[in-house]
Amino acid sequence: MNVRTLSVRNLSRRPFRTVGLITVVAVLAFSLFAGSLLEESLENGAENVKKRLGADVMLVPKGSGYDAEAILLKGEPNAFYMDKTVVDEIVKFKGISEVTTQFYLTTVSDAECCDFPVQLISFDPETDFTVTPWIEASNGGGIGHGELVVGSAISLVGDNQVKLFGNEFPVAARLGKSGTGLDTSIYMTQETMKDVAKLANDRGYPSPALDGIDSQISTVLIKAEPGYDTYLLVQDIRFDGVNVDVIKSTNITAGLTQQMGSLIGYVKVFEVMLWLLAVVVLGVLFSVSVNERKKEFATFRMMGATRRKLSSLILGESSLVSAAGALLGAALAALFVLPFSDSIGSAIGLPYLAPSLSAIASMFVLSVAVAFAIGPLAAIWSARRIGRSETHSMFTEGN
Amino acid sequence: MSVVETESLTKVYSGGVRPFSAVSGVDFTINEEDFISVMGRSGSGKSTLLNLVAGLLRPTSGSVSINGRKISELDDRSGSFVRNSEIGYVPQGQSLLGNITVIENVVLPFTLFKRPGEPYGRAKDLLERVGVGDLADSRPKNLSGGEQRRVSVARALMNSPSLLIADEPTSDLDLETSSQVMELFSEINREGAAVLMVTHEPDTANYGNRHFTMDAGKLTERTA
Repeated sequence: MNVRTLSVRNLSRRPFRTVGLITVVAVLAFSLFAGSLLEESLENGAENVKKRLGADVMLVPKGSGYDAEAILLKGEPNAFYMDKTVVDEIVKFKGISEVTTQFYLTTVSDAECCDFPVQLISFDPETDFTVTPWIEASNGGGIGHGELVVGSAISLVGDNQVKLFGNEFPVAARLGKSGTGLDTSIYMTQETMKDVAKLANDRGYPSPALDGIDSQISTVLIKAEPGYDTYLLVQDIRFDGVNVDVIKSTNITAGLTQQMGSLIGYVKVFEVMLWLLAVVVLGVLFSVSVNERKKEFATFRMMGATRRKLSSLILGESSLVSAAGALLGAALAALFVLPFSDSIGSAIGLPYLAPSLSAIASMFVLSVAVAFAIGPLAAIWSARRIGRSETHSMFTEGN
Repeated sequence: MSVVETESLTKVYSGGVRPFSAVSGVDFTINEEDFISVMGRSGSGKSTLLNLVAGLLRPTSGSVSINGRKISELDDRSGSFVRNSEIGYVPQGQSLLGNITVIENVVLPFTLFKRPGEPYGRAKDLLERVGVGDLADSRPKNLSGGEQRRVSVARALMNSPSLLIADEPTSDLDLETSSQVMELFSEINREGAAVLMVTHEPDTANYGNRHFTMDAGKLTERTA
């Protein structure tokens, strides 16, 4: 029998009150950990969009800027085309280091790889600087005719293959999760894209771009010379009257940061409010409990308990409640949030990439620590009050 | 050597409209063979005197010594240790902790400071001695008032105190149970522990071998 055993007994003999206190802390720990995960995942997602885009500037047909951003950010497949000659107009501008093009196609529901429409993207391995580095990082090589490189959300069949329009294509590489729309994309060479478009046509899904696949493109991706101000490059393209929408990678990131900022702001305000509410609720409950137990504390003093011992009895109980609630809440958040990060990302409509395991572990520890703190913090006032009270008045008031 | 010695012990409460002197210049000594009963009207200062002697209240002036140590001048930890090891306190009414068993209640004073040894054997012996050995594993709420008071006495004796303080030990007990509890106090006194008891009941006071009256903070010994 010691103070800790006594704290456990006191809590277990009041199960309703104890469960109530634990629940308050658990809700707080849940929101802290889930909120931190959300915040970190959104920041990761935004950072990854820029990395995956790989280009400083992206040009798309006039009026298709929003659709192009939706492909990147929300994973909403789309296709738009412009004449390939636009490249000749672009390369003359100052400050350009590399230029490459991509051609887009979308599947419909019979893609047989996925439950969702898929963005098909062809690129030119000779000039590409956006996808090739990721492919090399993934398989150490490149991509051949008839081969595919798939995003992390694309399901494979059989021996590392993807079935498109009834035909199985070997997968040369599978890209890591990016948390962006590119996770639901399939990359291929221009020749493979022609094969896929023909298959789609044979299956009754004629592609309006099939006839112009050699003369049309969907995007022009530009890498600026090192140190060159991309703002100047964009201004030159706009002033020259090239019939394109210009997307700057930094603008995408800035836009995302702005959208995330308000969401993260709301989450933070909610967390702070909840934290304060939990401190007040627990503070009131501990105060009521201490009032009910004045006679018990007075008896302890008569037996020879120091004032510090009385305080530690109250703080011990609040710490136990807090520890249980904090661990339970954070564990439940991990159980419910981590496995469903893809669904959460889709629901939010912003790039969403879960952080590394070590970062998650750090957030877990921090959330548990912050949630744990409210118990002792809420009980400090009661503990100080009881530590200062006169034994005789405590005993008579407790009767 | 005397167990308790007070010098000009005074306690003035200044929180009200005007200062109230609950204990006023009390000088008295308790020796180990003493069984002291203190009687007096409500508000005469009896409970304040007990709390001053136990070191639970700081005197406004004067001092209290327990076995030669001025408990009124010790810090909280040292004063608490003196109270824990040299004073057994039997409070008024029900004072057992409801969330633990009877024997765990008895063991509690032993656990408040680090001590060598195993307390459960002695706790069991004390419960046997006060006549409730068979209730060791019961919950306090399942005991009668008399049984609870006996357990309180066993708890007060746990650390073999030299002074037993009892505040109205028979106030809510029937006559038979009262006399059983008072016989227990007499027995403890005969075995060498001094007893300081406050009571309203003359029959209970008669168990003492020295009798005092408290009136308006003044303590007066009644002689036969």
